[in-house]
This record gives sequence, structure tokens and C-alpha cells, in this order.
Amino acid sequence: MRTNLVATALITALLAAGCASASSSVNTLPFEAKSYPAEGVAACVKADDGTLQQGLSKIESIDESTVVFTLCAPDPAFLQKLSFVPFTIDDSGYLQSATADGSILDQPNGTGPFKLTGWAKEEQIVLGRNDKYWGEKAKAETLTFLFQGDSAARLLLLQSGAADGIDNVAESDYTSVSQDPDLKTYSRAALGSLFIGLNTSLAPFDDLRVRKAIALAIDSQRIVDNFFPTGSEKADYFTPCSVKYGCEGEPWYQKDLVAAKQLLADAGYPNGFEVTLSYRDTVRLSNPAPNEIAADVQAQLAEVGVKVKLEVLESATFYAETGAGRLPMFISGWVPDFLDTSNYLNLYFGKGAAPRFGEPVPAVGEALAQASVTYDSPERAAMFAQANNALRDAIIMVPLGHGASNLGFKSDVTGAHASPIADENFAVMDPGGRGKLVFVGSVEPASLFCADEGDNDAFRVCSQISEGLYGIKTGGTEPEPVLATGCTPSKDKLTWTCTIRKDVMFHNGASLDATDVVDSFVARWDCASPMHKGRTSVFQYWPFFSGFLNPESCTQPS
Amino acid sequence: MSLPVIFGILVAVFVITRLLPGDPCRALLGEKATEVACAAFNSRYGFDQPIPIQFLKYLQQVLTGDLGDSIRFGVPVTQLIVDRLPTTIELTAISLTIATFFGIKLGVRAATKRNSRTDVSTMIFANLGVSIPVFVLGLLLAYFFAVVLKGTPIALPPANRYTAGVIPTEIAVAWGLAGLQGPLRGLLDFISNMAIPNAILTLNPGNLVDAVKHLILPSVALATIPMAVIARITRSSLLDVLGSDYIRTARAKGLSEREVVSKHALRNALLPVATVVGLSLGGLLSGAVLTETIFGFAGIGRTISDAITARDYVVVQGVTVIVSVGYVVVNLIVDISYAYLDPRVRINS
Repeated sequence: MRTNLVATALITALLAAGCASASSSVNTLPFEAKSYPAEGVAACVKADDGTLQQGLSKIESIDESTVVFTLCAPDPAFLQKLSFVPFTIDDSGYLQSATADGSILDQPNGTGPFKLTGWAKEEQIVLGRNDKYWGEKAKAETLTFLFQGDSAARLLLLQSGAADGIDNVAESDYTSVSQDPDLKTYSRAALGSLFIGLNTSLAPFDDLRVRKAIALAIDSQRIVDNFFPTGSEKADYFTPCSVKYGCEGEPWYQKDLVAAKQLLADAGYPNGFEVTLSYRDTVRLSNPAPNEIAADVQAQLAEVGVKVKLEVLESATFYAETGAGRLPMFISGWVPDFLDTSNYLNLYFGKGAAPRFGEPVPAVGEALAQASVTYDSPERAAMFAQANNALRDAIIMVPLGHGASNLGFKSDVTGAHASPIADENFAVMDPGGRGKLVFVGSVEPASLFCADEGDNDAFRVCSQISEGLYGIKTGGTEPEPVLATGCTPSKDKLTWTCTIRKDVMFHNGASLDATDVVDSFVARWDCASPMHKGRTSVFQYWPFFSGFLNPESCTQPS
Repeated sequence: MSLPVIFGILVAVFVITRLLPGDPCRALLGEKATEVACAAFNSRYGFDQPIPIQFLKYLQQVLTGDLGDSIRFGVPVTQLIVDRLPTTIELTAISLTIATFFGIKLGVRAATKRNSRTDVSTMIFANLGVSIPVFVLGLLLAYFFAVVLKGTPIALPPANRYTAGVIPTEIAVAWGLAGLQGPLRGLLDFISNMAIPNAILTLNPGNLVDAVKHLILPSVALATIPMAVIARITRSSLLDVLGSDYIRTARAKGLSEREVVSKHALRNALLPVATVVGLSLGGLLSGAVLTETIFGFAGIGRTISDAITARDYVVVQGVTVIVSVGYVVVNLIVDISYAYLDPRVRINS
């Protein structure tokens, strides 16, 4: 009897110690309704014409399952933005502790179908299946990301069997991969945009006739046919037509060398002129063959007497020079962050854009500002048509092509696919029953806190680990509910009410509730928040959603 | 002389990185680098200060052993070096060993069988070895051994230090010293980052085999150029020595050719070879950049290459300092080895 009592006491003590230990390691915080800002609403920013700019004015958790976003102005792309990888949801307790000790950069804690099991920097990131995932479990037991910038070396990994899939199959390798019975290619939709920029503040491009001559001299179909990967398209608009409203308005000019020469003569350049064409020698989704494309532009313009000197600039230099408006002519490209026409046009041509093309074109800026806050489909279409037409009239850029890219997989990998936004869902892929899925990307993420990262390679890894209220459909472009079962707008589109999915757990065992959503957004939104810390603490994608709270704190080191 | 050399390198690297066009903010943030974002960025890292002030602050840090924090990764540069340098040391050491061993062997064979087929074929190999760029050779070797020979017992992996999914346990953790801090932990972590010592010290034969297999192709690719150079130098140096009077005397005494070469000629012939071996280290380190990139090794060569592209000034400066120190030390060792190889150096000094 006495022995039994002692044993019972001992067992009870051990159990209590175990429970205490478990709960302290999980760092779970009980639900507490939260409103941010705590009192009132955040100040909304007005544009020069008095209209309110898009942004967040309040976010609050009403109960465990309900979070309400209050906006400054209607945002037609709200759900697309919620789907964006930098806006995934973190556990409140984890956010507080991991931003404090810096572990947020390389010890992510999400709700996704995979969780991080190991990271050998600049070698591989190993993810293990999350067997407590709320949805359909991942087919592979482990998912390993390797990183190799050289396309030939990536192909070797695939052909040797060391990898199950690779990103960015080089066009020169496309035929050998597609004809290999052990391999299969998957094409990514043509969502990149390549264009020639013309600076209206620098002669001779201050003359519209010269700019039009350039536009009429370029045969972009020839460039796409010769240098872009299989699946790419000639650009008749800055935005691809596969993006809604992308191709509203008049299409681009057709090649007309006679008219081009006449325009140059009228502008005082009967024998042409000399100009420097600057570009980055970096292969990207939007620019698959930088040197070859630049050389072809040079050759095409020579036909109308324009003597082009090619200037290769290193990336950092290129961005600095274009951003400062110091380059007369340049080739650049854009890959979207989220799939809305505003994301294609606003950065380059919207109000407040950097002076890459010289003086801004007011008609374009105004149309884009209106389109950004307009829900109505015909009206929004009309505004984008207005913007496209104004761009066509101003000719501050010449669209060239929309680049596709291709992935390669072993042919026995079921569920393999290409995501238009390079965010493949590896959970649905089965590596031929081997259990271990290995994928080779180009660039290793600098950290796995994607709220403060900016490249697709990082997003691809993060999205396997973390999820947002919405996500992009597998292999598609439309948003679908993920951690939310749905988000509903009010009549005036200024309030969105989202219902949080029940019984979802983070990898650390904490349960998802509405306050986690609030804190996740606050960490990105409020520069004065102790959770506003990342690798650079710039949170460069947050401005797509809203302005920063306490912006004066953003200029000080965190 | 070493200290002024290192200081001069530090100044040169500091100035050159600042003279590079572009800036770290735009290199990292790309098109989305706004004025506000870059102002915050530059303030955080001190890039808004005048360059002399930046240099003085940096010098102060270096003298206290602090090489700064990587802009790209946000970790101390010393941490990056501890993490990455062992990979390069391991790869370079194995390559240098292969190059020296086989280079001397080939050179000796060519010299002792002068104008024979062996001599001619050795020199053809030497010329080829010097001519083929290391990244081309690396890709060719990887293609042949990983793709052509796929599925055979002699197939080799084309990249990385380990099979995908394998992340070896650190020595400290394997020894139950996970909580250990300080220089000893640093030393254990440093050794842990070398694949072969890690596998041996954690008693993991599977990892050892995996690591050796993954090291073969990059080591051979990296060793080819110095091996060719060493073979040529050994041959010409040995031919010189074999023509000496004392060698004629040794032969006249009835010593076998083997004894003449190995006991009398080779030691004297190795003096210039020692110099070449030391100088080869610089070539190996620069070749390591390409080899590490092609084979996906996270070494210091690839780190500095990525850091230059990303304008991660702090990493470029820190790594250059460390590599320069290493290079100076190695050549010091080479100079000291002269005294062992040539008694006349000891007597004269």
C-alpha cells in the first residue's frame, strides 16, 4: 500500500513535469481578442487629388474564428494579396519569441504540409512531411531543395537521378529533356514581361517621333521566336493577356520600317543617331537570353539607321541607374508578385513610380490609380484600357515578349506541375513511390521568413511550410481559401470579414486562431512593433498591401 | 612583411568594393528598392557615413576580431567563415594532395624516361590539363561519371557534398556536448564542417562513404591544372639535376637508377616544386570558386563570389582578409620548408 502510494505520487509528479515541459516548449498563447490599432483606426493616406489611397486602417479578431480587415479604400486585388507568400500566418507566441532571438530567419513555424527538419546553408533545405496537417497529407515523406545557379549543372542532377525535378530548364536543353523517355517537361505560363525602356528626359527620346520610330522598327515576334523558351508569347501589351484586364485597349504597333525612317527624318535624324542600350546580363524568367536579345535589338534598329552601343551593367548598378532615370534606353523585365494587372503596371507607370522613363505620364498614373480601387468589372476594364492606350500613345516603353519557363521532372513523378507564379505545390507530388522528393532551384533563400524576403526561390520553399488566409490554386492563378474558409467583403468593399478554419495547428503544436492573424499582420505593418524584425526589416512587399504604421520608426534600425 | 601585406590587402579590398558600381541595397532589393527602404538600409549598415569613417570603424572592428555581420545573411562574417572555410580547406587539401602526389610521380616518370612515349604522353596530358578550364572539366567529369555511367558501380554523384536529404550530425552533438560554448565548440564546429573528419569522428561509415564519393569529382577537377604544372616543373627540374656531376658520380659508384633518383636527385629537384606547390594554393583557391559553384559546395570560394554579386561588402572584406592571411601563412611554410629540403639554406641563414 505504502509502495503504491509512493509510486502513484512519483508518477503524478512525472506527468505534471512532463505537461509543464511540453506546454513551455510549445509557447502557446490562449486566445485573446485583439484590435489593432487598439483604439481608433490608423490614419489613411490621401493622394494629391484627395482620394484615399489603398491601405489597412484596422485589423481585429472578434472571436477565435473571425478576423475583420478594415481598409482605407476598396481593393479589388485584396484576395490576391492575401494569397501572396509574404502574408502567411504565424503563431503569435512564436512571432514574439522568434523575432526577439532571431530564430525566425531559419526556424520557421507554419501550418503547411511540410515542416523544416534541417538546413545546411548553401547546400540543401530538408523538409519533412507534417503528419498533423489539417488537409491532405503530402505524398512524399521528405522534400529536399537543392540550389544550383548553373543550368547545365541542374540538368546533370536531373539526368543522373540525384534530383526528381529542376527549375528553369535552359532552352538549349529543352529538346533533350523533352525527348528523354525518363524525363518530362512542364511549361510555366508566359507571365514575365520584357520591354525596352525609353527615357523621355534624355535626348533624342524627348521627341515622341523618335520614340515612335523605335516602336515601329522593332519586330518583337522575331525576338520571341528566336530567343524565348517554348511557350512564350509576343507582347502586344505590357501585361500578358492571361492576366485579367491585361490586354484592354489598343494592341501595340506593328513593324513598319518605312514609317519609322520617315519619323526619324521628320525629327531631324535622317541618318539615324547613336545611342547606348543598357541591360543586365542575367537570365531571368522575363529575359531568357539577355545578350542575344540585346544584340537582336541592336541589329533591328540598325535597319533604320540607329546605331546602338550595347552596355552590360551589373544588377545593382542597373537598378541604381534606371531608378535614377540616368539611362536613355534600357532593356528590363518584370515578373509579377501577384496576378493582377495593377501589379504589372503600377510599379513602373503608377503615381510615384521612379523616373525610369523620365517625366511621368499623368494619363497613365490617373487611370491606374482609379483602376486600383475599382471593383466593377466593366469600369475597371475601361480604366486599364485607358492606361494601356496612354502607354501606347506616350511610347515610353516598347513591349517585347512574355517569357515562359520550363521545369523538368522525372517521368515517374506523379502530380508534377508548373505553377505560373513559380510556386509549385510539392505536397501533391509523389516521387515514384520513393518517398523522397528532391527539387533543384536556382538560388537559395537568404532566410525562411518570407515576410521580409523578395525572391521566388524563397517563396517556393516558404509556401511549403507556411500558409496564408488564401493561397493560389495548385498550378493556377486564382486565389482559393486556405487558412480562412472564406473572406466576405461589405457592400462598400471597405471591410472584409474572414472566418478562420478550425482545428489547424502550427508545427510547434500551437492552435491557429484569429489573433494569430492579427499579430502576423501587425508584425509586418507596424514599424514600431517589437515583432517587426526580419533579415533586412524592410518588409519590401508590405507596401503592396498597405502603408506602414509608425513610418518614422521604419527609418531607424530595428 | 606579412602584416603590411595583409594591411595593404585590407585597404585595397575596402576601396575596391566601395568603387564597384551599384550598392548593396539595390543588389538585395532589386527593382523594389525605394528611397525610403534604402535610406533605412544604409543607416542600419553605416553606408551613409563617409568612406574614411567607414574604414576606420571597420579597422577598429577587425583589430578586436570582429569582421562584421553579413548584409545578406545577417550573421557574423566570422560565423560564415567558420561554416564555409572548412569545406574549401578540405576540397583544396585533397586536390593539392592529388596534384602533388600524381604531379611529382608523372614528372619523375617523364624525366627518367625522357623522349619516350611515357614522356610525350605525360607532357601532352600536362598541356591538356593546363588548357581545359576547370568548370568545363568539372561538367564533363560529372556528365561522364553521373549520367553516362549512371546505374553502374563506378557511377559518382554530380554535385553537393552529401546525398540529398542527408545533413550530418555535428561532432559536438554526437559527443553529447550540444551545450558546449566557446573556442572548443568553435573548433569542433569547424572540424564538423569538413565532411570526412566529421564522418570519422561521429563514427558514421555511411556518411564517410557518401562524403568520399561526393568529393572525388570536384577534387580531381580542381587538381588537374596544378597537377599538370607540378608534373612539368618536376620533369624539367629533375632533368636539370640528373645532369649534374654528383649524379654521374653516384651512377659511377654503381647505384641503381632508382636509388640515384629517389635518394640523390629528387630532393634537390623538389626545391622549385615546393615553390610551385605553394603558389598553386592561390590557383586552387580561385579555381575553388568555379568548382564549388559547379558542384554545389558551400565553400568560401562560392561565398565570396555570391557576396561580390550581392554587394555584401562586409563578407567580401572579411573573407579576403582571412584568405590573404592563409595564403601568407602557407607561403611562409613553403619558405621554411626550403631549409628542410636544402641544407645550404640552413647553413647560410
